[in-house]
Amino acid sequence: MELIHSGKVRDVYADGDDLILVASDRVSVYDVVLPTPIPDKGKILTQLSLWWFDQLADVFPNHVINTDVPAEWAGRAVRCQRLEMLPVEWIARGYLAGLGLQEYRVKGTVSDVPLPAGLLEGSKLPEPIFTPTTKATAGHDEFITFDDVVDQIGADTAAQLRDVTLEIYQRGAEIAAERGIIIADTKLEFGRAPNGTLVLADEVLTSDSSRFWPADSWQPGRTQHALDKQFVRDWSSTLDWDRTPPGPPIPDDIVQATRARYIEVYERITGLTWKETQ
Amino acid sequence: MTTNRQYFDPEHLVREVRELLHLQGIDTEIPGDAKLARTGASMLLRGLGVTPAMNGVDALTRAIDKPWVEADDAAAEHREPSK
Repeated sequence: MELIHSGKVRDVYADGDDLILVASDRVSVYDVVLPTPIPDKGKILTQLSLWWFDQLADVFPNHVINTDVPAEWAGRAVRCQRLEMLPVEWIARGYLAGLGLQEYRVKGTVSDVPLPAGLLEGSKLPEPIFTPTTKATAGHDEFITFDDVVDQIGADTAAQLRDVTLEIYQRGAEIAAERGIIIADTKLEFGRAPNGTLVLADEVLTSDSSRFWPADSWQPGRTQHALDKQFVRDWSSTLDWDRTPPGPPIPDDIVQATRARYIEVYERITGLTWKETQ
Repeated sequence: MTTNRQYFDPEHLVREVRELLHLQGIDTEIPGDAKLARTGASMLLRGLGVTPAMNGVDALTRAIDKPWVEADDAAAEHREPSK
Protein backbone atom coordinates (compact mmCIF):
# COMPACT_ATOMS: atom_id res chain seq x y z
CA MET A 1 0.00 0.00 0.00
CA GLU A 2 1.57 3.25 -1.11
CA LEU A 3 0.60 6.65 0.23
CA ILE A 4 0.25 8.81 -2.84
CA HIS A 5 -0.98 11.98 -1.28
CA SER A 6 -2.13 13.33 2.05
CA GLY A 7 -4.62 16.14 1.59
CA LYS A 8 -6.29 18.49 4.00
CA VAL A 9 -8.96 16.09 5.10
CA ARG A 10 -8.42 12.90 3.09
CA ASP A 11 -5.54 10.67 1.99
CA VAL A 12 -5.17 8.58 -1.14
CA TYR A 13 -3.27 5.29 -1.35
CA ALA A 14 -2.48 3.01 -4.27
CA ASP A 15 -2.98 -0.74 -3.96
CA GLY A 16 -2.04 -2.30 -7.27
CA ASP A 17 -4.48 -1.00 -9.85
CA ASP A 18 -6.88 0.24 -7.19
CA LEU A 19 -6.95 3.48 -5.27
CA ILE A 20 -8.01 3.69 -1.65
CA LEU A 21 -9.54 6.92 -0.43
CA VAL A 22 -9.20 7.37 3.31
CA ALA A 23 -11.19 10.10 5.03
CA SER A 24 -9.50 11.48 8.13
CA ASP A 25 -11.04 13.16 11.14
CA ARG A 26 -9.23 16.37 10.31
CA VAL A 27 -11.40 19.46 9.99
CA SER A 28 -10.59 22.72 8.26
CA VAL A 29 -12.10 26.17 8.47
CA TYR A 30 -11.19 29.12 6.30
CA ASP A 31 -8.93 26.76 4.38
CA VAL A 32 -6.82 25.96 7.45
CA VAL A 33 -6.68 22.49 9.00
CA LEU A 34 -7.19 22.71 12.74
CA PRO A 35 -4.96 20.65 15.05
CA THR A 36 -7.86 18.95 16.82
CA PRO A 37 -9.68 16.15 14.98
CA ILE A 38 -13.43 15.60 15.14
CA PRO A 39 -13.69 11.93 16.18
CA ASP A 40 -15.38 9.75 13.53
CA LYS A 41 -15.86 12.60 11.04
CA GLY A 42 -14.04 10.60 8.36
CA LYS A 43 -16.15 7.52 9.01
CA ILE A 44 -19.39 9.46 9.01
CA LEU A 45 -18.67 11.23 5.71
CA THR A 46 -17.45 8.00 4.11
CA GLN A 47 -20.60 6.14 5.17
CA LEU A 48 -22.76 9.02 3.97
CA SER A 49 -21.03 9.03 0.59
CA LEU A 50 -21.43 5.25 0.28
CA TRP A 51 -25.11 5.58 1.15
CA TRP A 52 -25.53 8.18 -1.59
CA PHE A 53 -23.68 6.00 -4.09
CA ASP A 54 -26.20 3.25 -3.33
CA GLN A 55 -29.14 5.60 -3.69
CA LEU A 56 -27.81 6.85 -7.01
CA ALA A 57 -26.75 3.51 -8.46
CA ASP A 58 -29.68 3.57 -10.88
CA VAL A 59 -28.70 7.04 -12.09
CA PHE A 60 -25.06 6.44 -12.97
CA PRO A 61 -22.27 3.90 -12.34
CA ASN A 62 -19.65 4.86 -9.75
CA HIS A 63 -16.02 4.14 -9.03
CA VAL A 64 -16.53 2.20 -5.80
CA ILE A 65 -15.17 -1.35 -5.91
CA ASN A 66 -15.78 -2.29 -2.29
CA THR A 67 -14.80 -1.40 1.28
CA ASP A 68 -12.20 -4.15 1.55
CA VAL A 69 -9.45 -2.11 3.19
CA PRO A 70 -6.93 -2.60 6.01
CA ALA A 71 -8.56 -2.90 9.42
CA GLU A 72 -7.20 0.40 10.71
CA TRP A 73 -9.20 2.22 8.02
CA ALA A 74 -12.40 0.22 8.44
CA GLY A 75 -15.41 2.43 7.92
CA ARG A 76 -13.47 5.43 6.70
CA ALA A 77 -11.99 4.14 3.44
CA VAL A 78 -13.24 3.10 0.03
CA ARG A 79 -11.47 0.98 -2.56
CA CYS A 80 -11.99 2.63 -5.95
CA GLN A 81 -11.23 2.16 -9.61
CA ARG A 82 -8.33 4.16 -11.00
CA LEU A 83 -9.83 6.43 -13.65
CA GLU A 84 -8.80 9.00 -16.21
CA MET A 85 -10.65 12.06 -14.99
CA LEU A 86 -12.49 14.55 -17.15
CA PRO A 87 -10.90 18.00 -16.78
CA VAL A 88 -14.10 19.68 -15.56
CA GLU A 89 -15.74 20.17 -12.17
CA TRP A 90 -19.41 19.25 -12.58
CA ILE A 91 -21.40 21.58 -10.39
CA ALA A 92 -25.12 21.98 -9.87
CA ARG A 93 -26.52 24.91 -7.91
CA GLY A 94 -30.03 25.26 -6.55
CA TYR A 95 -29.28 28.29 -4.36
CA LEU A 96 -27.00 31.32 -4.59
CA ALA A 97 -23.78 31.03 -2.60
CA GLY A 98 -20.03 31.16 -2.95
CA LEU A 99 -18.64 31.72 -6.42
CA GLY A 100 -22.14 31.60 -7.91
CA LEU A 101 -23.25 34.49 -5.73
CA GLN A 102 -20.12 36.49 -6.57
CA GLU A 103 -20.63 36.07 -10.31
CA TYR A 104 -24.35 36.84 -10.09
CA ARG A 105 -23.64 40.10 -8.26
CA VAL A 106 -21.22 41.17 -10.98
CA LYS A 107 -22.91 39.86 -14.13
CA GLY A 108 -26.42 38.71 -13.25
CA THR A 109 -25.49 35.28 -14.56
CA VAL A 110 -23.70 32.17 -13.36
CA SER A 111 -21.67 30.26 -15.97
CA ASP A 112 -23.53 32.42 -18.50
CA VAL A 113 -26.88 31.09 -17.27
CA PRO A 114 -29.09 34.20 -16.90
CA LEU A 115 -30.88 34.54 -13.58
CA PRO A 116 -33.72 36.85 -12.50
CA ALA A 117 -32.84 40.19 -10.94
CA GLY A 118 -33.20 40.73 -7.21
CA LEU A 119 -31.87 37.44 -5.92
CA LEU A 120 -30.09 37.55 -2.57
CA GLU A 121 -27.36 35.56 -0.90
CA GLY A 122 -28.90 32.17 -0.21
CA SER A 123 -31.87 32.69 -2.55
CA LYS A 124 -33.39 29.61 -4.12
CA LEU A 125 -32.97 29.63 -7.89
CA PRO A 126 -36.00 29.21 -10.16
CA GLU A 127 -34.56 25.81 -11.08
CA PRO A 128 -31.21 24.10 -10.51
CA ILE A 129 -28.53 25.19 -12.94
CA PHE A 130 -25.39 23.56 -14.27
CA THR A 131 -22.33 25.72 -13.50
CA PRO A 132 -19.14 23.90 -14.47
CA THR A 133 -15.71 25.18 -13.54
CA THR A 134 -12.19 24.53 -14.64
CA LYS A 135 -10.32 21.73 -12.98
CA ALA A 136 -6.80 23.02 -12.70
CA THR A 137 -4.08 21.60 -10.48
CA ALA A 138 -3.22 25.10 -9.28
CA GLY A 139 -5.05 28.37 -8.78
CA HIS A 140 -8.69 29.10 -8.14
CA ASP A 141 -11.67 27.59 -9.90
CA GLU A 142 -13.08 29.62 -12.77
CA PHE A 143 -16.51 29.28 -14.29
CA ILE A 144 -16.71 27.91 -17.77
CA THR A 145 -19.81 27.72 -19.90
CA PHE A 146 -21.55 24.66 -21.17
CA ASP A 147 -20.20 25.53 -24.63
CA ASP A 148 -16.67 25.48 -23.16
CA VAL A 149 -17.35 21.99 -21.82
CA VAL A 150 -18.56 20.93 -25.27
CA ASP A 151 -15.32 22.24 -26.77
CA GLN A 152 -13.26 20.40 -24.19
CA ILE A 153 -14.85 16.97 -24.16
CA GLY A 154 -17.36 16.82 -27.00
CA ALA A 155 -21.07 17.54 -27.29
CA ASP A 156 -22.46 14.10 -26.45
CA THR A 157 -20.41 13.56 -23.29
CA ALA A 158 -20.95 17.15 -22.16
CA ALA A 159 -24.74 16.90 -22.53
CA GLN A 160 -24.90 13.48 -20.90
CA LEU A 161 -22.89 14.51 -17.84
CA ARG A 162 -24.64 17.87 -17.50
CA ASP A 163 -27.95 16.02 -17.34
CA VAL A 164 -26.57 13.45 -14.89
CA THR A 165 -25.13 16.20 -12.69
CA LEU A 166 -28.49 17.93 -12.47
CA GLU A 167 -30.32 14.66 -11.90
CA ILE A 168 -28.01 13.64 -9.06
CA TYR A 169 -28.33 17.07 -7.46
CA GLN A 170 -32.10 17.08 -7.76
CA ARG A 171 -32.44 13.54 -6.45
CA GLY A 172 -30.18 14.37 -3.49
CA ALA A 173 -31.81 17.71 -2.79
CA GLU A 174 -35.28 16.17 -2.76
CA ILE A 175 -34.27 13.40 -0.36
CA ALA A 176 -32.52 15.87 1.95
CA ALA A 177 -35.40 18.35 1.80
CA GLU A 178 -37.79 15.69 3.10
CA ARG A 179 -35.49 15.49 6.14
CA GLY A 180 -35.23 19.23 6.75
CA ILE A 181 -31.88 19.77 5.05
CA ILE A 182 -31.19 22.05 2.11
CA ILE A 183 -28.47 20.89 -0.24
CA ALA A 184 -27.70 24.23 -1.82
CA ASP A 185 -25.25 22.97 -4.41
CA THR A 186 -22.86 20.15 -5.12
CA LYS A 187 -19.71 19.31 -7.03
CA LEU A 188 -19.26 16.01 -8.82
CA GLU A 189 -16.35 14.40 -10.61
CA PHE A 190 -16.50 12.00 -13.52
CA GLY A 191 -13.86 9.85 -15.11
CA ARG A 192 -13.45 7.06 -17.62
CA ALA A 193 -12.74 3.49 -16.63
CA PRO A 194 -10.12 1.57 -18.64
CA ASN A 195 -12.88 0.25 -20.93
CA GLY A 196 -13.97 3.82 -21.70
CA THR A 197 -17.10 3.75 -19.56
CA LEU A 198 -18.01 7.03 -17.89
CA VAL A 199 -18.07 6.70 -14.10
CA LEU A 200 -19.03 8.92 -11.15
CA ALA A 201 -15.94 9.37 -8.97
CA ASP A 202 -14.57 10.81 -5.73
CA GLU A 203 -17.22 11.43 -3.05
CA VAL A 204 -20.83 12.36 -3.55
CA LEU A 205 -23.21 14.66 -1.66
CA THR A 206 -21.15 15.01 1.50
CA SER A 207 -20.78 18.28 3.34
CA ASP A 208 -17.25 18.65 1.93
CA SER A 209 -18.57 18.53 -1.63
CA SER A 210 -21.93 20.26 -1.07
CA ARG A 211 -23.38 23.08 1.00
CA PHE A 212 -25.74 21.67 3.63
CA TRP A 213 -28.03 24.20 5.30
CA PRO A 214 -30.69 23.63 7.96
CA ALA A 215 -34.04 24.27 6.28
CA ASP A 216 -35.64 25.66 9.44
CA SER A 217 -33.22 28.57 9.68
CA TRP A 218 -32.79 29.27 5.96
CA GLN A 219 -33.18 32.96 5.34
CA PRO A 220 -32.11 34.59 2.06
CA GLY A 221 -30.17 37.82 2.43
CA ARG A 222 -27.49 36.60 4.80
CA THR A 223 -24.78 34.00 5.00
CA GLN A 224 -26.47 30.67 5.71
CA HIS A 225 -25.49 28.39 8.57
CA ALA A 226 -23.40 25.38 7.61
CA LEU A 227 -25.25 22.44 9.07
CA ASP A 228 -22.28 20.56 10.46
CA LYS A 229 -19.32 22.93 10.73
CA GLN A 230 -21.15 25.93 12.14
CA PHE A 231 -20.08 25.31 15.73
CA VAL A 232 -16.44 25.38 14.64
CA ARG A 233 -16.96 28.44 12.47
CA ASP A 234 -18.82 30.33 15.18
CA TRP A 235 -16.21 29.45 17.79
CA SER A 236 -13.29 30.35 15.50
CA SER A 237 -14.87 33.70 14.64
CA THR A 238 -14.68 34.68 18.32
CA LEU A 239 -10.91 34.19 18.38
CA ASP A 240 -8.11 36.62 17.81
CA TRP A 241 -6.85 34.48 14.95
CA ASP A 242 -5.84 35.75 11.52
CA ARG A 243 -7.16 32.62 9.77
CA THR A 244 -3.69 31.53 8.70
CA PRO A 245 -1.88 28.37 9.83
CA PRO A 246 -1.40 27.13 12.43
CA GLY A 247 -5.02 26.98 13.46
CA PRO A 248 -6.05 27.01 17.11
CA PRO A 249 -6.94 23.81 19.01
CA ILE A 250 -10.67 23.23 19.27
CA PRO A 251 -12.15 23.10 22.79
CA ASP A 252 -13.69 19.78 23.77
CA ASP A 253 -17.26 21.06 23.96
CA ILE A 254 -17.02 22.35 20.38
CA VAL A 255 -15.51 19.03 19.27
CA GLN A 256 -18.34 17.07 20.85
CA ALA A 257 -21.05 19.37 19.53
CA THR A 258 -19.59 19.22 16.03
CA ARG A 259 -19.30 15.44 16.14
CA ALA A 260 -22.91 15.21 17.28
CA ARG A 261 -23.94 17.42 14.39
CA TYR A 262 -22.11 15.27 11.82
CA ILE A 263 -23.93 12.23 13.24
CA GLU A 264 -27.24 14.08 13.16
CA VAL A 265 -26.76 14.97 9.50
CA TYR A 266 -25.91 11.34 8.67
CA GLU A 267 -28.92 10.02 10.56
CA ARG A 268 -31.35 12.58 9.18
CA ILE A 269 -30.33 12.04 5.58
CA THR A 270 -29.99 8.26 5.63
CA GLY A 271 -32.70 7.47 8.16
CA LEU A 272 -30.19 5.09 9.77
CA THR A 273 -28.84 5.11 13.30
CA TRP A 274 -25.14 5.83 13.65
CA LYS A 275 -23.49 3.01 15.58
CA GLU A 276 -20.59 4.11 17.74
CA THR A 277 -18.66 1.02 16.65
CA GLN A 278 -19.37 1.68 12.97
CA MET B 1 -15.22 -4.44 -24.27
CA THR B 2 -11.91 -2.63 -24.13
CA THR B 3 -11.05 0.36 -26.22
CA ASN B 4 -7.76 1.73 -27.42
CA ARG B 5 -8.59 5.14 -26.09
CA GLN B 6 -5.57 7.39 -25.55
CA TYR B 7 -5.56 10.12 -22.91
CA PHE B 8 -3.55 13.27 -22.31
CA ASP B 9 -3.89 16.03 -19.74
CA PRO B 10 -4.70 19.33 -21.50
CA GLU B 11 -2.99 21.31 -18.74
CA HIS B 12 0.14 19.26 -19.33
CA LEU B 13 -0.13 19.99 -23.05
CA VAL B 14 -0.29 23.72 -22.33
CA ARG B 15 2.91 23.44 -20.28
CA GLU B 16 4.62 21.43 -23.00
CA VAL B 17 3.63 23.93 -25.70
CA ARG B 18 4.84 26.87 -23.63
CA GLU B 19 8.15 25.11 -23.14
CA LEU B 20 8.39 24.40 -26.85
CA LEU B 21 7.69 28.03 -27.69
CA HIS B 22 10.23 29.15 -25.12
CA LEU B 23 12.85 27.03 -26.83
CA GLN B 24 11.93 28.85 -30.04
CA GLY B 25 12.55 32.17 -28.33
CA ILE B 26 8.88 32.95 -27.79
CA ASP B 27 7.87 33.85 -24.28
CA THR B 28 4.24 33.16 -23.53
CA GLU B 29 1.88 34.31 -20.84
CA ILE B 30 -1.58 33.24 -19.83
CA PRO B 31 -3.74 36.30 -19.34
CA GLY B 32 -6.27 36.07 -16.52
CA ASP B 33 -7.46 32.53 -16.07
CA ALA B 34 -6.12 29.73 -18.21
CA LYS B 35 -9.51 28.84 -19.65
CA LEU B 36 -8.74 29.74 -23.27
CA ALA B 37 -5.43 27.90 -23.36
CA ARG B 38 -6.88 24.85 -21.62
CA THR B 39 -9.92 24.71 -23.89
CA GLY B 40 -7.67 25.12 -26.91
CA ALA B 41 -5.45 22.30 -25.70
CA SER B 42 -8.47 20.04 -25.22
CA MET B 43 -9.71 20.83 -28.73
CA LEU B 44 -6.29 20.09 -30.20
CA LEU B 45 -6.18 16.75 -28.43
CA ARG B 46 -9.67 15.85 -29.62
CA GLY B 47 -8.69 16.87 -33.13
CA LEU B 48 -5.83 14.39 -32.90
CA GLY B 49 -8.06 11.61 -31.66
CA VAL B 50 -6.79 11.82 -28.10
CA THR B 51 -9.19 12.11 -25.17
CA PRO B 52 -8.50 15.09 -22.90
CA ALA B 53 -8.34 13.75 -19.36
CA MET B 54 -6.42 14.18 -16.16
CA ASN B 55 -4.50 11.44 -14.47
CA GLY B 56 -6.87 10.06 -11.86
CA VAL B 57 -4.39 10.45 -9.05
CA ASP B 58 -3.68 14.08 -9.94
CA ALA B 59 -7.39 14.81 -10.04
CA LEU B 60 -8.03 13.14 -6.71
CA THR B 61 -5.04 14.87 -5.19
CA ARG B 62 -6.57 18.19 -6.09
CA ALA B 63 -9.95 17.16 -4.73
CA ILE B 64 -8.58 15.99 -1.40
CA ASP B 65 -6.32 18.99 -0.96
CA LYS B 66 -9.27 21.27 -0.52
CA PRO B 67 -12.91 20.43 0.18
CA TRP B 68 -14.97 21.87 -2.68
CA VAL B 69 -17.13 24.13 -0.51
CA GLU B 70 -14.02 25.86 0.80
CA ALA B 71 -12.51 26.04 -2.69
CA ASP B 72 -15.70 27.66 -4.00
CA ASP B 73 -15.73 30.19 -1.15
CA ALA B 74 -12.04 30.92 -1.68
CA ALA B 75 -12.56 31.43 -5.43
CA ALA B 76 -15.40 33.87 -4.68
CA GLU B 77 -13.25 35.80 -2.22
CA HIS B 78 -10.40 35.86 -4.73
CA ARG B 79 -12.68 37.38 -7.36
CA GLU B 80 -14.35 40.00 -5.13
CA PRO B 81 -14.20 43.25 -7.16
CA SER B 82 -12.99 45.19 -4.15
CA LYS B 83 -9.94 42.94 -3.78
